[in-house]
Amino acid sequence: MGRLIGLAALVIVLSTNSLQSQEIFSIAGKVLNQKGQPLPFATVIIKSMRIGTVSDSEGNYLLGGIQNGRHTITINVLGFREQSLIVTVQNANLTKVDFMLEEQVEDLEEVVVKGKSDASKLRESAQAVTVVTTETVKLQTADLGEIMAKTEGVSVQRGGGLGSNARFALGGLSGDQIRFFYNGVPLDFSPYAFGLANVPVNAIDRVEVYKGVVPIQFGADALGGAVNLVPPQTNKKIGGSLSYQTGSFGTHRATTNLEHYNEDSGFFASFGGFYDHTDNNYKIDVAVPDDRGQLEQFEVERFHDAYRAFGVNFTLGLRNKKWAKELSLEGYYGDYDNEVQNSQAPGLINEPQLGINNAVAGSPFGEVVFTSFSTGANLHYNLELGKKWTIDLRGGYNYNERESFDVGNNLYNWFGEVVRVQNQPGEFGPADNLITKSENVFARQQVTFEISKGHSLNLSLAPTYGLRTGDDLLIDGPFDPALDEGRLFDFVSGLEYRVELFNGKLENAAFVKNYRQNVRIESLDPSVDQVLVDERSVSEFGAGNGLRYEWSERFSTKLSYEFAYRLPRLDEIFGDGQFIQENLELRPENSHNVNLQWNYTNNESTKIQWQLQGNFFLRRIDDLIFLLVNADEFGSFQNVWSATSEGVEFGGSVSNIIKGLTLSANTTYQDYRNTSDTGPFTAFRGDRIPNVPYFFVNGAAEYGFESVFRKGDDLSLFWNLRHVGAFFVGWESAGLQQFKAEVPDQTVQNAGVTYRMELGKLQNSITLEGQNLANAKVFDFFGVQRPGRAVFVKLTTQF
Amino acid sequence: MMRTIKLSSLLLFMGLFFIACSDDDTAPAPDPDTQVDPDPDPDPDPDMDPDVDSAIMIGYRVNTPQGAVRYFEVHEEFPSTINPSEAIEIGLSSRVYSFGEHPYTYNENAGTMTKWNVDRSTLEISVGGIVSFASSGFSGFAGGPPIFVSETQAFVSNLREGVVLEWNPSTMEITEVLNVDPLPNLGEQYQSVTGFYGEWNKYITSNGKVVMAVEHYGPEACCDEGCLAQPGGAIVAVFDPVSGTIQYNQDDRLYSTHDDLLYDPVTDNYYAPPADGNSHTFQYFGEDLVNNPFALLRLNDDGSFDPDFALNLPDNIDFNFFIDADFIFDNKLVFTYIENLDFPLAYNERWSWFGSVPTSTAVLDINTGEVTPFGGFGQYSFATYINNNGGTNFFEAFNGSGEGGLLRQDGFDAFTTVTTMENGRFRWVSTLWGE
Repeated sequence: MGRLIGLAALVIVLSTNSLQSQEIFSIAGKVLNQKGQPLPFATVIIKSMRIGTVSDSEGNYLLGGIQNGRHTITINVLGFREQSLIVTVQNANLTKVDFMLEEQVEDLEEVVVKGKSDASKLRESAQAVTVVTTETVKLQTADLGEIMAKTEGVSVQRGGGLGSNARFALGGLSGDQIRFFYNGVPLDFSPYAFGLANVPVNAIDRVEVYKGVVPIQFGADALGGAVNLVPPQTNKKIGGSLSYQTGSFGTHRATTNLEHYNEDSGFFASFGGFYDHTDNNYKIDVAVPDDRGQLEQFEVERFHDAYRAFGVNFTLGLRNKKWAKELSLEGYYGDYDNEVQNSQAPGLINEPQLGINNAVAGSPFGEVVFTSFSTGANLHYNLELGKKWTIDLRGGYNYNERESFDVGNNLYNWFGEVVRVQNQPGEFGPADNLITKSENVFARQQVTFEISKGHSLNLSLAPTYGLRTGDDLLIDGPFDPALDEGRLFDFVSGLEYRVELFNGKLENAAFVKNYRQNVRIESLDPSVDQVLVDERSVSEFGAGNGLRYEWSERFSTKLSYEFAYRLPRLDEIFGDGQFIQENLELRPENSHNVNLQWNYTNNESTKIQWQLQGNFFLRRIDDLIFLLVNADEFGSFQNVWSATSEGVEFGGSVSNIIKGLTLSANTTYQDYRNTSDTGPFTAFRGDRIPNVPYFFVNGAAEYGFESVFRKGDDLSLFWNLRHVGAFFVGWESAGLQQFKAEVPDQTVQNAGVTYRMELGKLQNSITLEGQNLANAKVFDFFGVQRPGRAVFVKLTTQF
Repeated sequence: MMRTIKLSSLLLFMGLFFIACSDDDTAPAPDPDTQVDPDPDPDPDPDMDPDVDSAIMIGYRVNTPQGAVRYFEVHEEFPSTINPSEAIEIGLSSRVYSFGEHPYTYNENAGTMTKWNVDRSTLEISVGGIVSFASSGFSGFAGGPPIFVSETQAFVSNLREGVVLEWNPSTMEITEVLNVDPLPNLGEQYQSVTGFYGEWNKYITSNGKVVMAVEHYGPEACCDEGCLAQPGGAIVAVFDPVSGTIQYNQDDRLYSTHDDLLYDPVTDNYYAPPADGNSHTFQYFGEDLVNNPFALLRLNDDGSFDPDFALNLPDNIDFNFFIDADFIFDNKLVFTYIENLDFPLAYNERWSWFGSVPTSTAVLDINTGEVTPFGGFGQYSFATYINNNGGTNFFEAFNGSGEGGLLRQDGFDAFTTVTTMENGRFRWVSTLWGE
């Protein structure tokens, strides 16, 4: 307990330490009890300089960076009276001072000191946030998409195995309506620019899911919420981790992270890297025609679905300087290759009487490849000016390219054989070899001013500039719509007033946001043989409020609201230069978002620990954008529909019903419905939005044993289940039930065992895990079958 | 002792996993509603009156946020408005046709044609068979609708690939895959990047040949050497089901024909009308590249172009934007146009007129050149031909509020709105039996 108190006190001290002194002299000594025995884990603090340390197991302490002068040193350790002593330092490199503390009899009751992690602080804030820590799942083999899918209120639909496209949804809203961040900056400015689901779990410490109400510091035009991936923080002198995973479908995943932090100089450095490869040759059911066109069902291995990715990132920086709490530079590179074997709608046939049960009947692709890379650098500067002001500046540059390569003439069957050589190249559609290039620059400026204790103001300015262009490699001449240069400037600014009252029982954050967008596109028009320029600007205001009240230590509630906007994309405004024409009048989508969350916990008062949490959410969304086409299939994006999403989330966990056993479960039901009075969906007002799942259940169990084979090791068995209810592809009120296309119920179970042991300073683990144990035939998208039963092994080492 | 308990617990836990994870991948029980019945009444007694006097099939599509979903429904009479809740959903990227008493639906993603049976007493619908064209390269919308020659012979085509596939609509089996000459090469640039170049509706002429208009539009084919360097002119493909060969007839007197021919039931002539895309390409690229954008050509019985007939529509009526040829009857062409469209400067804004600029519909007597206004479409601002059902033309029509109507042509300028729908598209109408 003393160790905890000491560490907690040290954390508190260091967290407020601005190190305003110069590193010149040191004070060292011993902390002893009245019997002359050493007292370990005593906190030794010079409050005036806001520095401190903790005595070691021999009671020794060392305070560095002391200037000449008189300093009051205060010593604290549990069970002993606090002692303060004035020490004068005068040009002595090392001043020795020992302390002898008196025992404090009346303080012998148990004292609990609560140290709060960043994740706990976030959970207990007024923000509508769910925090997923990866401490345990890092040791397991599920990817980030699967982990996120087990979170209440979150839907992740995957277009296949590792590396496949994913649709991430919060409260039914998805796509650009959700924004993704890596360490507080847009995910585009990271090695993981091409999607959340495939980010290596071991590269992430926690995931923050903001539901509908997005804090101003993200500078985001998110309509349905935001997701922030937080990487490990560098705080060890020498530390790091390695992981390697292998198993079914030719899967190999490796990550590494190395870190160094010099507490004395404040210098820190980290290096991270990942490598992923999978053949994705899992089996699916297909319907293959014979010469007469009669279909027969086969189970085949996918043959053109491999995925390879690698990436590196490094960070160099300084901490705890007088002129900067942190100054760091990060560089990164990520590279992705994806084979593509089918579209997102590969043509599912379900005719049980013909022996065909949900089998893909469309032809596969054998040569389509998508590649992409992303590289850039970010700068971070944080400064505390006295106790009132905090300035946080981030900026970054990113360049990324994507290339689609679909020029093959071969027609394949599902056995991987060429059955016909086509006259026209292209398997996905007409031949395509398109490169899209994007250059982006961003800045995030956040200034916090503490007006008084419990009252603060926060100003956030977040400009983002992007230049998009490309090249259609199949077009030699200048009239290539892909060559058009689109420039987009988004500027989201926010002002927040935060107040804490009643000893922190009540926290309230009110904010306003301004969304400004300037877009400009330059295109060569062949008819007039000149460059045409289109421009437009929009500016909208949003606002919100988050209120948290702690009714008791066990029970708290949060009520949050935001009127949010989602700014249109370049292609939505300007079209594609071909079949989609521009619409300069296109308005941002907007939504009123409300969350009412509650949490009840008894973690500290009984042997059996449990907690329950719930959330009711409401989204009223208007001016939703849809590609409206005319009779000739040409069209433009227009604000033509509206929707409401209401839902409940409920979850809980219980530990130690049997010692070592933890059970958890959550469920989400969302009612996402069309409310359009005008536009193309009017006839289906009141219908559930099609092709969006709306009912999820997750369950998990973990049973841990300690000291199984040797002292200090542990072994845990884990099992989890995910169920997603069936949903229709079309409007629910249209079509006779027995003929409606439906993504069926899916239930997937995973289970495994993790063994952990320490070897010296190395914390090692090995996990054996089976995924989709029942080999259930599951679909996230209609017709796109996901992997069946699989086995993986993962080795992890941390030091 | 403690180690023994832990081991026992571990084994118990693992045992529970195996129980929980037993294979549940069992085939679902057959759905009685989707029983495949190749032909429930293969040889109906013609003297026996059906319980239901007539059966009308309507195919249509509706929008969803993820794309358009297709449906068809069958009624004894035309319903006043569509009833999607009682419709058969055939999914995204599907098309609906019919022949005889059977609806047929084509799943573009799967490359499969499904035959449906309609119960003559109850109008209940069931699957009657399925045939896949996928291994012959059929997918997407390439080739357009099938042509039914008889109850045992039908064809689908993909002329870009040079393949015509013969299948038996009764047994739903492929009978022959014919490799024919592919569409004429319009130039490498054009071939690789054009948005559309192909055939669509097919007709059987009096001499048993199948004629198909081939449409192409640009100017996606621009390159350094110029735009549309090899304009193809109007193309009509003539397929001979007997010999299995194809012939392409090309005529520069029209830049590109629409992908559907016009048929005059009085004179028994087929006509090749202009493609609506010609209006854009002509405006932006000029007559050097787009020659004769608004001509009407006539076909001979053998599918060749009649060299003695070419009618340049602007010679008779002043307009600069051709939209659609609606129908032709007794040498009278009805077509829709915009008299003097103020074209936007940018090519990529070329469709901005749609829904915002009033259109006109006129009658042109192709013998005399006389032009008169046409008011047959009534309340609707725009109408387009769907298909001919037993000798009667059907059109889909729109007005500005999104209300759509299925129009039956009862006379030259007499149209009846038989069914309405909101914000959707009618795609097919057919009388399966009865009047």
